[in-house]
Amino acid sequence: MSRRLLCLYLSDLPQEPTEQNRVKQRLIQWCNRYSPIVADDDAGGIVLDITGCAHLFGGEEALLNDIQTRIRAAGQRVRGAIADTLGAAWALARYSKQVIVIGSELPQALNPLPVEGLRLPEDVTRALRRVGLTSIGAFHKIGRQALVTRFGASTLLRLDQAFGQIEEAVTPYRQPAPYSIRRALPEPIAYTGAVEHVVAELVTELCLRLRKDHTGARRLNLECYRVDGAVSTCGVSTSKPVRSVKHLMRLFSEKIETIDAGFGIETLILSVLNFDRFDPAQLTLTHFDPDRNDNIEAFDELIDRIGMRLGFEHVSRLRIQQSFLPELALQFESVMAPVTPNAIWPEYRLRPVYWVDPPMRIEVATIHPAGSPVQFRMGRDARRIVKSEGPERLTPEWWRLESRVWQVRDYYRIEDDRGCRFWIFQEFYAAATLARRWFLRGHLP
Amino acid sequence: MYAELQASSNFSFLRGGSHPQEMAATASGYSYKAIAITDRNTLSGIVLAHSHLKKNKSDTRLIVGARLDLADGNSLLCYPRDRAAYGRLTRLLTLGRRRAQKGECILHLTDVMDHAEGQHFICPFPEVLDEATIRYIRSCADKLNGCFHLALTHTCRGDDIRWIHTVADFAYSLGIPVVATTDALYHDPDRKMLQDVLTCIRERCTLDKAGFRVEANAERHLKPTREIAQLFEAWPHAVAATLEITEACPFSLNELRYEYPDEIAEPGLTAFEDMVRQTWTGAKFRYPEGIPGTVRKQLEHEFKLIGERNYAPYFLTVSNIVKFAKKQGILCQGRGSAGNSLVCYCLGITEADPVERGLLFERFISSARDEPPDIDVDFEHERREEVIQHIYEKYGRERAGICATVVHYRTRRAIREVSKVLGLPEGTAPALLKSVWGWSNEGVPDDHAREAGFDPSDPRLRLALDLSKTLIGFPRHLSQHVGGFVIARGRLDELVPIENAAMEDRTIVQWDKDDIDQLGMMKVDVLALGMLTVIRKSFELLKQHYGIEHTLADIPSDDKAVYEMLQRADSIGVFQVESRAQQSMLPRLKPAEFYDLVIEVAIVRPGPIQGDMVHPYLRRREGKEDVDYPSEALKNILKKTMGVPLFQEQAMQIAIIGAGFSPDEADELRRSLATFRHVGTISGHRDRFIRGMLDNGYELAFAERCFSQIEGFGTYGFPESHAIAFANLVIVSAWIKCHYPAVFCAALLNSQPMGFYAPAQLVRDARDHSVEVRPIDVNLSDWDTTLQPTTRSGKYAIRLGLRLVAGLSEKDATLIVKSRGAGYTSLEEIVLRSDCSRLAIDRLAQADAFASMRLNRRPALWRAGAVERDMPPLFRTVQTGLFEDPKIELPRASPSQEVVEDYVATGLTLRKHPLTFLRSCLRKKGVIPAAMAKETRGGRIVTVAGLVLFRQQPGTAHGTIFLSIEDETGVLNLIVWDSLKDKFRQAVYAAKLLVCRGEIQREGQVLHVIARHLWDWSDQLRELHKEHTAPTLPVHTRSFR
Repeated sequence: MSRRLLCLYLSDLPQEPTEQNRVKQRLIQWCNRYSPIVADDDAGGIVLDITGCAHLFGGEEALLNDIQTRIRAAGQRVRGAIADTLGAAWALARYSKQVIVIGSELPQALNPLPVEGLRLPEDVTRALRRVGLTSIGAFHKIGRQALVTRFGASTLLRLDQAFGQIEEAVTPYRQPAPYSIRRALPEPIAYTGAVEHVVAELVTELCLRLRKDHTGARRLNLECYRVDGAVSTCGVSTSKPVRSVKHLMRLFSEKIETIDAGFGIETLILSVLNFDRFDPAQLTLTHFDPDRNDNIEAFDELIDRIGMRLGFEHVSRLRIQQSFLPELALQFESVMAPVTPNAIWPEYRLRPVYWVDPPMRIEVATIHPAGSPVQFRMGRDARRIVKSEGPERLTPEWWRLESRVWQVRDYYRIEDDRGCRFWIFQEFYAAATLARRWFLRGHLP
Repeated sequence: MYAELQASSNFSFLRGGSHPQEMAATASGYSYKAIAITDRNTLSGIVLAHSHLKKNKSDTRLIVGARLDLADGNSLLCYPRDRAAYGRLTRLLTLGRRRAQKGECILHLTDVMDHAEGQHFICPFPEVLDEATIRYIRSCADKLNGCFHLALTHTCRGDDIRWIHTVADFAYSLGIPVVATTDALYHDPDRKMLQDVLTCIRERCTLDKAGFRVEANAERHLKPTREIAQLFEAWPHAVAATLEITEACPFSLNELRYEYPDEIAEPGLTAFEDMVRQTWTGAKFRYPEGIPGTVRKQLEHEFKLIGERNYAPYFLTVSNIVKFAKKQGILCQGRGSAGNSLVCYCLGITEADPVERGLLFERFISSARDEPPDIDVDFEHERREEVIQHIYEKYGRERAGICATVVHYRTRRAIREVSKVLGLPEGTAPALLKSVWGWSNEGVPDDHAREAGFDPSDPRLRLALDLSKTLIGFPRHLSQHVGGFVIARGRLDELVPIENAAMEDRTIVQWDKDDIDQLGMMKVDVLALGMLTVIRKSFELLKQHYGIEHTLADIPSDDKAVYEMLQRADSIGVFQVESRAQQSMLPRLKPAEFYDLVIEVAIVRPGPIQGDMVHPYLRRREGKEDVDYPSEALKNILKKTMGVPLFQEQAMQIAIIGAGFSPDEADELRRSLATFRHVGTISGHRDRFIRGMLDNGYELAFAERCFSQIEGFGTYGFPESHAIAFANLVIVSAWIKCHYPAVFCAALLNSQPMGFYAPAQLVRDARDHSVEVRPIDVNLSDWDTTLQPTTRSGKYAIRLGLRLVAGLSEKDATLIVKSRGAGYTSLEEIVLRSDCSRLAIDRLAQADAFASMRLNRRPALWRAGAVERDMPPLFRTVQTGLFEDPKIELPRASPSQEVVEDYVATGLTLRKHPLTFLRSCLRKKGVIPAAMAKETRGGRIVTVAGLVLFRQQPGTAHGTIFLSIEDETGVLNLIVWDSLKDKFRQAVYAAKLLVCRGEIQREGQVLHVIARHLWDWSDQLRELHKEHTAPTLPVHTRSFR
């Protein structure tokens, strides 16, 4: 039986490479329903080897109609063609009105198509166009030796592949092998302890493989196939790549309790849905400090466990941003966000340990209008200032239009006669009448 | 009292947020004793600050200084105390600059120590006192004992008082005196935003990501003395130290005494004596019938002035350069005000006799102005490099250098950078800039933004529009001036720092031509002029083929045929008068004698157009209006030009005689208008001018008109002598074109790129003048376009040269021509015999240059493809006969395909015009040919189409755009009013093939089509080469203002 190939040309794929790849891979996977051998043609199209498949769909024409209708229904523009060779199907899908060409019709159908249909390098097609060899037919008529001299042997290969003189294989596209471990049990189990035991075995095996590959799991899924044919699943996520058995088991054991084992589970599949690179940390010879290492790990584990219970969206960590403004310098971020180093804070810019938020209005007396504060009053509580330092003048980040702070502020560090230290500021307004407004911003150590 | 010793201007590129003159003005306003503009490793900004202070007679003095940023990350501020130390500083900067890439500077502390004698140093205020800093300050203090201060700077960072105390105590412990500085980056706190933007441009980040890289507050501005005193209340001695340093560094740029090179005079003669001797010799040559008395008198007068001012060495220097060029057979001609000098004429620097033309020597050198004259000389553009190399050779690289040109931010760049920094979406800047021309300095106005689909009240966009406007005019980098040479008597690098230019082996001085002028230094402009190349090549062809010899001076200026040709606006290729604007002026002005051409050259300039001088002049010339003069006094000035001021001199003299300006003031007025770096001073001049005119009894309307003309002249006006020099070239080139069109066309083609027209139009024009043009052929063409005899004796055809073939190198072409012998018989033979590259054969085949061996383009390309790649000739096998199938039948190209291929390969075609092939289609749409449109009565509505040759939006035309389109029957000029421009933006700005419906407008012989509706039909050009992915016709459209 001769081969049949189907080529789909997707004319409006997204420009952006990763997005384009994503769309294409989804389509390739979907195309598996028509044939087990589906490949990316690396030129904006997909190739299916449908040898012996067409009859399942009511013949070639029906298959082509079916596949096109469905892809179009999903909002993707597509043009397909079927031929005996990959090269021919490729060209037909792009340049021909005739989309199904079988057997002896091939040369007749290919000859009028433009040379671009031959999958030649761009400089070769350009050179051919310049001498007026614009169609495959005109090109085909040229002596083979003349072509080799000018364009190299690969040109002939493409020609022969299209016309079927040389067989061209389709290498099916496969997804990168995910981590997936299957365990079929001799006897169904239902007891939670037994399930946990099996899961522990699976996790141990998985962690070995992860270690070998220098990766760590971010999202895992456990499928439990029950004797009654139903499947119970549970998943866990982590804030960082993980491959510690202990850690993973702690996460799973909280979930396993919730699994409905029904009349018993006969097969378990543990798969890793997402993973990241996780290089082993280098242990130093001189300062081997297991405690510290453990602390960090323990902290991460704690976050994971809190996250698992409360949902990761409820767990945040603090981060120092590069901004002089206190309002912007400290920001909360999700623990799931990748860890980036904190900004190195300039030492001389002291910040409070306790914030008064929002800043509190206070009354301040100064010796002369622009001078340092000498006395301040919070409500009825008047304090004498014995030491003060400043001002630290901060201009708003004028480009942040969403920012609420629009005034220049002069911050002072002050100490009152009781030894309490405060961080206060004076706000400048354009209007002279409002020029003096003081606020308490925080308590200093 | 206070003196600011640390302030960066925007010549510390992407750091300083204010112009040097703004810094100087603010310092002066705060009554500082002095200010030092300490830019990073440069002295580029100091002249602007210096001359600003000097011009405004400010009591604030400029301390010369620079911030030396060392390779190890440390910095030092350096102030020369005297002239000798200044020379050491400039040499130090030259050293650092010359060993680094363009724009950079590599200096080490040891270099500084080598040049430290006579300098005063300040170490900038340290932010930390770590070990390295302490070590650095200690070592500076040790070596620079006694002339080293440590700066104290208050930046409102919070712990200032404590930190300044710490640093001051540290300094005290080492015995280093302290001094207060501001370390200003801008003159006014308002510039903080712009300074942040500059920081981000420098750091290549957006403001959102800038973090600690931008300043925490806006404190780095110049502050009033009172505020400084408050900030440094605890350290009054630091404030007092600023004044001590000011006292210690009295060096001023005024001390730079420029000295002329002294080896130019004949041994035994002084420069003056030698100049006089050479002038008399020259005079005898200029006046072979005997030197007339008037000339004698004038020469004596000029000698007196030149002698008084000791300018003789300058005249000799220029004369020397010109002599060298003439000896090498390089055509040259002085331009500009040097034409007013009889001495220049006698020395051969200029070509027009100023006595005969009644020109004033005082325009060139006046007794009132104490500044050196300015002689600009044009040389053939292809051979100017020889002249430049000669200057370097004669005076040495350490004594000669080229002026810098400061490249400023313009609208395009400013909008792009600011949008990027503000993080506006990527498409924003291109969309905003769609309708902005390359040279715009105006920023993007709100209504443009609105048209581009933006809301100018959107806060971020508002910021972008406003900040970019402030950024415009900021210096961006130094580039090489077109030809301004500074030649010094001693070492030039002791006068000004020298740095590397982008071009290899070129160095530039850190000052631009205005700075050089301001300091009274001498410069010679060695300029390049394409037309001189054309004329020289024409003269050579005339000699070679017609056996006649000519020079610039002996072309008759009264040839009737030439004037008749010009009156018909038949001027393609002729110097200056070939542009669209000139072509529409020629039939109106109807030049009939040499002086008419002088006016023609001067009148089509933005100056006279802006001043509305053109129409009154034309009316008076046509006799439609009486010639009258505003007063007897002005009659003398305006007689030549029928009472309408057209030349720069006239405008200046009106200011002097009419408005009572002193010659000095008049000149300053002109200068203040010349560059946009003096914004703000104009209105003062204006009031003074108008008041002066009214006081002297002139009408307000006339006064205003005169002033607006002077405004236009600032940048674009011609002095009369300059117009004469140019008119001389007009007459020479027109004469050649008129009598020897084949010669003229060949010379033009051989001098490309230059001028207004592309080769396609030049060839077309030659053919219109019944010159036979023969195609490029590998057996018949040389590198240059040549003359070939025709069957009629004395009439030559031109054979297009191989230089027109796109992508063919001169080296390959020369090889092919050299080994041609009796001619090649096959393509393969060329490769074997000439050893040219494979690419060359391919390019020649693409250009269809094998006709003489009966090989058409496609077969030639096919065979060129078989030439083996990169093989030495001996190993090359000729594949014909061995493998080649002789029966290969390549499909024939259609005529329109051939035309497109011709354009691709050579930029022109000798076959049919591309529009011929579209004509039937155009006819169906009611489009008529250009020739027919030219026959149509004025006022009628026609539809025309053509390839867009030029697109011009003159600054003087209130947004009107002029387009020239060409079809197979001729060229038409379209006028698109401002109001229509936006409706058909795409067609106006981007179309290659334009269809236009509009009204025919006639004014005498001049015809324009006033557009009413425009269509962009560029897609139709693809139809010419009806094949998938074929190249579209490459139309070369030039856009300019």
